[in-house]
Amino acid sequence: MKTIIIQLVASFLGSLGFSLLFNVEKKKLLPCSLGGVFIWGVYLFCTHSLGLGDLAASAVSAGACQLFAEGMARLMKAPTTIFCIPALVPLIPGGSLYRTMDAVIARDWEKFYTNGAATLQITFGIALGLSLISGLLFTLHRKKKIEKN
Amino acid sequence: MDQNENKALLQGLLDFGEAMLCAGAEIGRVEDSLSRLCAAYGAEKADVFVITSSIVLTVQFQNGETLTGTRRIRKSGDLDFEKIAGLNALARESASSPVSIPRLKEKIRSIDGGCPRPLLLYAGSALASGAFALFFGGSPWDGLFSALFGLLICFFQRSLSKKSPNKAFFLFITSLICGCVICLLGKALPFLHVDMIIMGDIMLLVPGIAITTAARDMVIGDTISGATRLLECLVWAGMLAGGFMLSLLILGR
Repeated sequence: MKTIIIQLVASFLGSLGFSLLFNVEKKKLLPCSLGGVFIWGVYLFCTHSLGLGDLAASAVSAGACQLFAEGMARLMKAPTTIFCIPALVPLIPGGSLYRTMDAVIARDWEKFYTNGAATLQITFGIALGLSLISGLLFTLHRKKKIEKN
Repeated sequence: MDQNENKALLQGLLDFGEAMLCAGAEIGRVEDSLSRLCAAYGAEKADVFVITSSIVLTVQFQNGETLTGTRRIRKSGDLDFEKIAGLNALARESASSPVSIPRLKEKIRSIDGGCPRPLLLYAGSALASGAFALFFGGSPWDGLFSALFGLLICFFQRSLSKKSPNKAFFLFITSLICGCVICLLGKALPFLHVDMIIMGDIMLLVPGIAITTAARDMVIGDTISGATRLLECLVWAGMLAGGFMLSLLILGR
């Protein structure tokens, strides 16, 4: 439990730090940072409670991230990416990339394969989640427009 | 509109696209905004082709004139959301009520000219790298030292990256220097966890956001941009990993 709380607080600060780096406007800093906490919460829920693997868990959390960002974008009238990117930051597989490198130096090829695979799965899981949800929203939006006409 | 105005408009639109692309906007957004702007300024038809390194814009005007312009984009700028938001708002605003072309150019220049305050960049780097050292399970000391190296990396990014021939070289040198100093510190201060500090600092350098957006671009159909970006990012990630690995090899884990 303690590690989970530390991770959630750290993901808030991490997302806040990246928001500053990406020159996010002041009044959007809080939603961007809270987005990071929310996404990491979703990821932890997926891996711990649902027992999903890296690929599925990161796809679901990235999908949640896209939904969150689209919602915030409508609410605050700004491009979606502004809320999406900082919130995604905790998902970036920096840890597993390091462990992959470390395994190469130690010539521990088994560890290399598991961590390398995790890095790739998380990366493509994120891409999958983002594009599927944005595609779905696009289609729904179009459908509404067509019905209106 | 006469010919000169048409030419001025084309240049203005290319300026707009360049500013937006350099601020790190998605390919789709740049193409969308440019098409919308073309329509707003009374173009009969506009063909926009944007990839990460170039913009090609052909506009067919109502007087029958057709103009094509190309803009080569060399810098892969850092993400700047305030610029993207500003340019996006400008595109929307102009799409409903187009301002005069000189005014448009002026507005683009004023949005593009702004740069983030250095203090905020340093604060952001330190905060992010420190927080991620804790995130990966480091002690408060690891977080503190990771934040200090975050400041160093930010300094490198602001000074060394302009003098580097390319980003791959910059990443290799930066990660090598940081890796060596972190390893030495780890030997001098045994209560530090070298791996946690490196993980925190890797987050600042790793092109994680760029890789995921590149992969997304490929999935949604901007295949060329996505693929070039993805390869570029893999090279960067490799150089980054190489620099850290070399430092760990030289000084021992």
